Amino acid sequence: MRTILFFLLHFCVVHYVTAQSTVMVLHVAGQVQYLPHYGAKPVNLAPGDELDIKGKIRCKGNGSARLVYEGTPITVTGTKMRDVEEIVKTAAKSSEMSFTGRFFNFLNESLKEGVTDEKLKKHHRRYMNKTSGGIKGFATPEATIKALLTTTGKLPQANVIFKWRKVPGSGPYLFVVQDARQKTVAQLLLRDTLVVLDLDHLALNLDEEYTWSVTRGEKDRSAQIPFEICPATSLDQQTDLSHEKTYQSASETEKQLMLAYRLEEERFFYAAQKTYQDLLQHHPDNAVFRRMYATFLARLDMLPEAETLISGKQK
Amino acid sequence: MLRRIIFPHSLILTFLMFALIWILDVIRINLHFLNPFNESIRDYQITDIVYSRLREKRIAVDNRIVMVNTGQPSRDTLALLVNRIREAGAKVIAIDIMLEERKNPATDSILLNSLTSMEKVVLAMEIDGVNDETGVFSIQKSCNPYFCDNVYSGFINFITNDTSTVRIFSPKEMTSTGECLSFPVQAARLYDPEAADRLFKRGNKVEEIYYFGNEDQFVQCEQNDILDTTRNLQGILKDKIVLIGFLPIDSWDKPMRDRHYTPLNARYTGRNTPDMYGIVIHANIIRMILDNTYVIEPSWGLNLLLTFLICYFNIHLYYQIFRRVNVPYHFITRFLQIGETVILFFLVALLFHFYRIKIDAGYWITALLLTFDAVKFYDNGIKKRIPLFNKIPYELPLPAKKKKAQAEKASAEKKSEETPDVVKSDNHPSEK
Repeated sequence: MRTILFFLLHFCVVHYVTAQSTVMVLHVAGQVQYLPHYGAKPVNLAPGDELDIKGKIRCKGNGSARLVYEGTPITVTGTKMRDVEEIVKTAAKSSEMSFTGRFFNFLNESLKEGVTDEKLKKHHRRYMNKTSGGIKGFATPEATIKALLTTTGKLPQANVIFKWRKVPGSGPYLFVVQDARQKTVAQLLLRDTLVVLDLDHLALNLDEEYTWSVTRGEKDRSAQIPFEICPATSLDQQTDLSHEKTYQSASETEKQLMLAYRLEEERFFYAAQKTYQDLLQHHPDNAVFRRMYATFLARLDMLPEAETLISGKQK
Repeated sequence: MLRRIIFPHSLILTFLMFALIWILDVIRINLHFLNPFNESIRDYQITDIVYSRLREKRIAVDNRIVMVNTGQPSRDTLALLVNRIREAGAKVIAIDIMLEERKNPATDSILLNSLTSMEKVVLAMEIDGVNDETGVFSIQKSCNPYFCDNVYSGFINFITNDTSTVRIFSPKEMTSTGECLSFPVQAARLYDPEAADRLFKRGNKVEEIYYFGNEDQFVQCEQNDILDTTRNLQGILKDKIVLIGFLPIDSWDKPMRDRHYTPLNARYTGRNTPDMYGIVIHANIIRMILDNTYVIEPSWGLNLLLTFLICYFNIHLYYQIFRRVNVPYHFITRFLQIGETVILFFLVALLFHFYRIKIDAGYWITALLLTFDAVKFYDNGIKKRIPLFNKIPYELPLPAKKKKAQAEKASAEKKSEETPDVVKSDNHPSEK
């Protein structure tokens, strides 16, 4: 009897463990990140990946992902970090009807859905959201104020200097931080082309993406620069190189260079810039460091700064 | 037994109905200028509703086929893609992109090198210039021999006109240079030769496409997903059929290029927009071949028999109602017609949904709609005016033996009914 009970229990446990379903990624548009658990290193999703439903997911910018869970297709959009389990549960709520149910639903709908010309004329406003004449344009209003991109990507929970280039004209600059729903989180009127903000003091959530932008008057505006807050512990986890053999055998300065590159790869541009600056502070005459920092700046579309750095060396 | 099944007038009327339907079928008059609706539903089948509205929303992702959207790539990008996919261990690469002309000799050579470095690569091409008498195609185009002569190729022609729905495809055609397989058949054959043999054994000149669904039934990669060297692609591409082609499903404007009408179109009647990219149709065909899930169409004879039985059953039912309840005949039969039409539609949909049996219920419904008037016209107009028809009984006469036995039984019953009355009157104690 005990043996039978043991096997029954064993069977149930095995069945439960193996029945832990996964979510399959069908298609990814843009960048979508998955975190197996909170604080883990985010992984960029790709088609064919299988995700554990205990993890978290979020899309970057306009990114989206098409997932399948037990035959139910799910589309994920939005920059907010969400539990995969929660997404799956929401999708599963829209339960599937049987064939007969769908058949009678179809018969019923066919009777209800007939839109006559008369009905169309009487309730025309209801039917104005279906089509429109015109196309989406490619042209976006050009940003006259150039925002410096070192404060995009992942920023520390500390003092951060947001910078932009000066434009001719007069009047104060309006610096705005907005959340994904375009709701203003912080707003400052400034005379200078930089602002120092302690991001730890602002009401910003760790899981959400924000944008900062600068405007002056009605004409001058910058692009909306996306950023997110990343605590120092998470930064250390995501850029940890200590397990890599080449890192272990590298000199201290080489380690700093490797770290700077890794920081850039993980979109910690602000921290990467700081690492390069520290390196140059200790080795102001090192041409390699100068060149590497210049190429980093060039990659962030900061060519004038990069040129100044290189020409400064040549002089 | 026969007497209970065969009713002479119902049988005659069924034959007359068949003749009428045949006449209506033969004399086709193009009246669509009078009825634009006719034009819009000309290319419509009942099974379209099954695909577009009654299909399960749940999807079963095919783990043998992966689609890669390349847009319209340059040849060197295509070469890089092929290399990456080959390195990932794909079993078959099917490229739904027409390499029509030679371009830059250097990049062409790189691409050819990539294509030939793998054994099972299929390129897309078109066939044209059919000889109506022999059925042989004289032209193979849209794929430069520089590429096509060194790898497998398959024709990507669909059987449709500009406005019609893609329902059928041709597995193979004869060309002046020999037999040529269609693009999806070639890919399926290289992946699973037995599956392709099953298709060829069916011996059909054209096959109905069984659509599993839209692009959601397959894993879809973007070009960048493949070219990203930091990714290990083995997990998703190893031993699979990789279809490379134009699949801009994320594009905000959903370009019309290579988009076709399919039965899955949500708007199955009237003016609508094409709903499926060619590469997804190819993927559906490949899946159908690999899964052996062909659409079953009853033979002409079986269809005729079924139509006859349904027509006969209805005529007999309506005739019985007409004979017994003359006044509310109109009311009852109209309700019956609606009810039966729904039931027939349900049956056709059910058979297609669960068993992929595609029945042409057009004649059934035509017969059903004509029955009401046909019964009235026959009984009032033909039977009463033509003496020959009037002489025919409603039911078959009883056989002589049975008739005799029935008569004897009836007389015995009569006697037994009479006898007790006599006894009763003689012996009843109350009367004494």
